[in-house]
Amino acid sequence: MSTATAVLPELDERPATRVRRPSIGWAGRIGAALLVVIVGVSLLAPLLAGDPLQQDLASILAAPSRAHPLGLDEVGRDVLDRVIWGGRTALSISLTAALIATVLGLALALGSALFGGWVDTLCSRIADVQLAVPTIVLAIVVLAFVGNSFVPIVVVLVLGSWVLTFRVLRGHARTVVEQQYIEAAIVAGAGRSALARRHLLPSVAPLFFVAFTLSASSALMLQASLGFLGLGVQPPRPDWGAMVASGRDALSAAWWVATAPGVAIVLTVLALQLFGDGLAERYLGGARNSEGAR
Amino acid sequence: MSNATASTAPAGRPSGQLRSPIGVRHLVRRLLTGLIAVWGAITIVFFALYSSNNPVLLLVPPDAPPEETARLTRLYGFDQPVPVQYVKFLGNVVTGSFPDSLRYGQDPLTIALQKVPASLLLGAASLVLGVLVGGLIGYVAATARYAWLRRVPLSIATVADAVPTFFVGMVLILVFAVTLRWVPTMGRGAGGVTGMILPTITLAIAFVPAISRVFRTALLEALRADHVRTAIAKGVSRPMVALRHVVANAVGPTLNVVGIQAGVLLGGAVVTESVFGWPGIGQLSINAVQNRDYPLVIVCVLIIAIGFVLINLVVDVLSVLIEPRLRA
Repeated sequence: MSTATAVLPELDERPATRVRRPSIGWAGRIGAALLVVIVGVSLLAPLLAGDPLQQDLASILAAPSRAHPLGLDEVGRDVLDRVIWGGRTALSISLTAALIATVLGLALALGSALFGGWVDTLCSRIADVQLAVPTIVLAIVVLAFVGNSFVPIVVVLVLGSWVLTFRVLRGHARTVVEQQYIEAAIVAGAGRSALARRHLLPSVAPLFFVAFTLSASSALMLQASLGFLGLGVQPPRPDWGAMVASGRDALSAAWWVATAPGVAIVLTVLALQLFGDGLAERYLGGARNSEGAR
Repeated sequence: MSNATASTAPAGRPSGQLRSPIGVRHLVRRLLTGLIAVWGAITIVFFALYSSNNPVLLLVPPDAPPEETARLTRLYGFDQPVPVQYVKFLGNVVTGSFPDSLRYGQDPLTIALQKVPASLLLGAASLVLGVLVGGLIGYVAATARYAWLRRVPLSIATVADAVPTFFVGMVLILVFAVTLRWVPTMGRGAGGVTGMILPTITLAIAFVPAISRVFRTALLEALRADHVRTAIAKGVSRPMVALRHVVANAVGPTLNVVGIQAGVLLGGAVVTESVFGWPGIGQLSINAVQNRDYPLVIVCVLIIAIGFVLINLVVDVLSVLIEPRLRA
């Protein structure tokens, strides 16, 4: 696989046999490639797309043409430009939320595994309480009363998705803590922070990345739904979910206005899920656990 | 399972006596957990309300005279310390007394309760459809003779999992209502049953993928069990083995997932109702948020939270009835 290490002489400290990992599979590669394209296009939005707010009132709901590959929306804005800029909104919000959620889940899971006892009980109880309040209720309450800007939306998405990471990582970390080599490390005088850094983190890292991609996909989905319901970032900032909602009224006259951002959502979610499943296949031998808490 | 087997029952159980199908203690414990969840939802509402500096200003019409504001402030105790306010708020919720809806000018509880049957109808219809389709896909994926039949339906379901509910509804509207004109676009309308078709399918698609995946996994597990091999070996007919020994054992875990997915179901229901203009509690809650009708928002949120708890309770009781191993 790697050409760089092949040239190097084998070091003696290296374990003699290395576990041969399955590849992330063709589906995983497609997901990864798609993800690179989507993230790249979003990052390069200022170079690739025109002003998403510029209106051409003379040609409202114009059909796709050479000048406007995806047509114009109900107030004469270029749909392609808005889809590209909307990617920034969607990715910045959902990736931030997924990162915070998985890091929070990781921290609580490691804490639970290392300290056990009341720390573990407390974290698990908090997770139970979190699961007992449906995310949509949380979203309506927070976004109605606190307002819907970047931070409250991210908070809602984090609250809606950290339990998945916590549950999965906690289970794994607990089995690791019971291993003999951990006992040996403790006997050798390793403290909790050393255990966490040297033994637990490397062990849960693959799971963490899988949890991150799957949390990102569910956060993106929820973010889009909130945008569609009018609870997301406020117009005129381009947002995929809100674009689908505003294109809905013109569905019979100009179906592309609502369809283009919708396809963008589906492709992004699919890319994250395929990549996440591929990672799970490679590091965990399949068994994606998406049936956990949402 | 019958009285005849009572003599072989594990020690410690009085022989000749059947155990009640579900433990009272189990039920009570579940009810308490549900109450705690509702209490949590109320608390979140309270603190969200409180985080805006003066909650009363949210709860009275923008043009309300100062006396009215002052009256409500006293009524709900917003001039008192937070713990007192909190207790009063809890009391008001329990007795069902909320400030009038800002938009409709009447008791928000009455308005919201009128919307519940429509939501229940939609939810029940799509639950039935989703369980049937999801079960079928899972069964085929676990047992079909041909590889493509094991894979293709499940793959379609997996891709469907990446499509947000509102976009599913949108595409269905575009294809079947706008282009083909088979069904009306909006609401229950004049069509009655025909107006229900698209929302039901949309909401069902929201949880078909999860059901089919779990059902497939559970079936594969059940198929490997020793008692299934024994049943086949002693000559039990194929359909009987499938039904009595395999499917029956796979229903429990699947039902559990329906419970876990209840939150998804509710979120999907809110979105579906908004897409199709379905006159249920979900659409009402979103409209209330958009109209800044905060008393109505509070009531809607509480009803949805209670619905969530009830769904989980029903699933719990059902899974214990189906899967006696769970009654601890």
